[in-house]
Amino acid sequence: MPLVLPDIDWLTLAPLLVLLSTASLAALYALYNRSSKAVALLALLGLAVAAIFNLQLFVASRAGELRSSFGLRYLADQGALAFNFVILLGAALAILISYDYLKRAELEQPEYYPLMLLSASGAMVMAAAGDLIILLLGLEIMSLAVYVLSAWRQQARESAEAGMKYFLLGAFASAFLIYGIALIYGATGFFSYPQIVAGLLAEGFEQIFLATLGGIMILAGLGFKVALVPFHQWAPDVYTGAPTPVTAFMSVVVKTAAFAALLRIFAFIYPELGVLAVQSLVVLIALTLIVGNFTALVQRGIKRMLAYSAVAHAGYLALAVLAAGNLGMRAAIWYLTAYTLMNAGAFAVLTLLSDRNDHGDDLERFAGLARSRPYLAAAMTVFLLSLAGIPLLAGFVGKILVFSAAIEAGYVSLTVIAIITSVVAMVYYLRPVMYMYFREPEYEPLQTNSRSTHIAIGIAVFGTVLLGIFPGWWYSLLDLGQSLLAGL
Amino acid sequence: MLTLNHFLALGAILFAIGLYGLLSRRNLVAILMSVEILLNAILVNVVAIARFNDQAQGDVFALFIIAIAAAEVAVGLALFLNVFRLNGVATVDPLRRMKE
Amino acid sequence: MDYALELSGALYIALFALIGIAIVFVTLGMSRMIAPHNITPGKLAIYECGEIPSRGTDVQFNVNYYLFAIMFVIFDVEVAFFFPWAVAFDALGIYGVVAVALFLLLLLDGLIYAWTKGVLKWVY
Repeated sequence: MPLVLPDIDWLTLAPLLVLLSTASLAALYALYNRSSKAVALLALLGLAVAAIFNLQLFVASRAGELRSSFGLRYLADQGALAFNFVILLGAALAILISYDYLKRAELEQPEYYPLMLLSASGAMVMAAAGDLIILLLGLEIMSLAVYVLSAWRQQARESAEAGMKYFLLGAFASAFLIYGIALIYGATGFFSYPQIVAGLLAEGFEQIFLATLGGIMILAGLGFKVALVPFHQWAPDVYTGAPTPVTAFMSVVVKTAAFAALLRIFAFIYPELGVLAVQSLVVLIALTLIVGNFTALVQRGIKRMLAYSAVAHAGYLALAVLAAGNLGMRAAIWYLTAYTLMNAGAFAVLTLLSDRNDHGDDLERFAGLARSRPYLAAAMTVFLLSLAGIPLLAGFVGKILVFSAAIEAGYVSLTVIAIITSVVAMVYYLRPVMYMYFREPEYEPLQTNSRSTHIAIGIAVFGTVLLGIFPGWWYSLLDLGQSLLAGL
Repeated sequence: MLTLNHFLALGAILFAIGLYGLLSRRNLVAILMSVEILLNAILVNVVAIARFNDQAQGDVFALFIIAIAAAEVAVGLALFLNVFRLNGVATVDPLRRMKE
Repeated sequence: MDYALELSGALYIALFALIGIAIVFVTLGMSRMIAPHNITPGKLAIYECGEIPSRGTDVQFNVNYYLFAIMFVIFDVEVAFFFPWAVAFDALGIYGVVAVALFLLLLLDGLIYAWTKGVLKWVY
């Protein structure tokens, strides 16, 4: 048997390699220089360089030059590159939020930043995967780093438990994912998406049951990562127990990567599987929308409320997955961009309001905030209103795009559920706003300030408003007319 | 004659055993071992499929599964040590505290 | 090529397993039937090669063992990737050497990190 060496396109891999080498160099550098500042700056620099490479690839792909590596297994099409931007943005915001937070909480260890970079690089691998093995590797690279990060507060039981719980359930979920991959491999004999589709469509294909079962298991594994009900059990505990910047990172970057992977396999493989595979996602979405929104309604702690809100948003995003294909992909990327900005922003505000042990995030603490810290209250209001989907903010446009994509794909009743639940969601998003503006303060507010966090909040507010008022430019850039794999 | 389905069944049985262990055991180390059983169950499947299909892709996947299992167990042990240091016990019971 | 195993092979395995299980039960059952039933505290004690046992079996292992175990697992398993390379060494040529060198470099990065952190030092 002749040995075929894989083709390697270094430019395609450049953003990824930049992140990886920055992370390993930063880890070594951290051995000799324990200054977090230097390592954090190095990490931000790495993200910036990766973004520049990504931009170069993106411009090239707009001009019709589509690159890939390892024989269509690592893709740099417009979808993957746009997702890379969102991932890099999310990671940069998380690092900015982390810097002063870690100092204040006495958790300052320079290894934190390389781990975050590694996790982001895993996320990029997932977005670029054109092969189930690559998808799995990306998922593991991303998750293993996040498990450790969520246990970063070593002295606090909540954090240690968050890490352990996330790890155990995550290992469980990735076992399902691997089993699903194995079943699809067993049914079709291939791992890469085009070959799987070819195998499924081949004359005399009989293993449709195995393949469908595999598809459902993959859905369960990825559904865990994005916290679709009923795979969301870990989310509230882990989101609450992990240090707040890590929660921001998890809710933003991990979700983006898992949805990127889900969108791609849904666009390609799932239409060829049994109808059960798509039906099960419909059920998951309906459950997620209802359970996520109604449970968020009864939470007192803002961090926990945001955790359930993250679950609910996974439901909206999954609607776009159902409408996979050009329209759904565009809507999902747009939504994730907005979601990254507003969610990371909300968590950033939260780091400034809660004490160094992440306590004191209950609703009462928000009372009268508009008077004591007007700018912070205004920023939080923007984020919450955007999450709720108020017009002229990014979240609203995202919801419109996703809903219209879902209606286009014929899921009208599900969209109706989504619209009704997003009206319910207004209640829990507007409640903190009411507290901030119309209540007398009950506690002396903390006067925590942090330059880097302020920068992150500034970027997030700017982005949320900009995308809300001028949604067109980013959407038109996402015209995914050309893709390496047919069907997208 | 032994067919592929026999191996798939063996894998499924092992997977079920691992699943049972994961859900029923309270000792964290035992749970980690159950996770390993889960991954090894899949490994049996993958290697059998690769052999019956007579192609190398599956073996490559098997190697990756082994590496992933090792990485997972290393991280899991580290997290376990942390929990153990704080709680002094090696069971999942203290982890239930956060459930409200 | 047909890789399906013959029934006879499977039969041997089943037979082997059955006999193995049977031997255990037969010997244990015989000992229970024949042996006199006479328990003394000495017989119930933990077996320690003739020494008097100092404590129960639920000893806590030193945490250091776990750290070493973690390091060992990682470096031990990564060796698995070298086997395919070794098998296809001639065919891969310089390409394979470079790829494995990169892989080793990454592993080395981790090793240097762990070493400098003092993970390999035994803490008493």
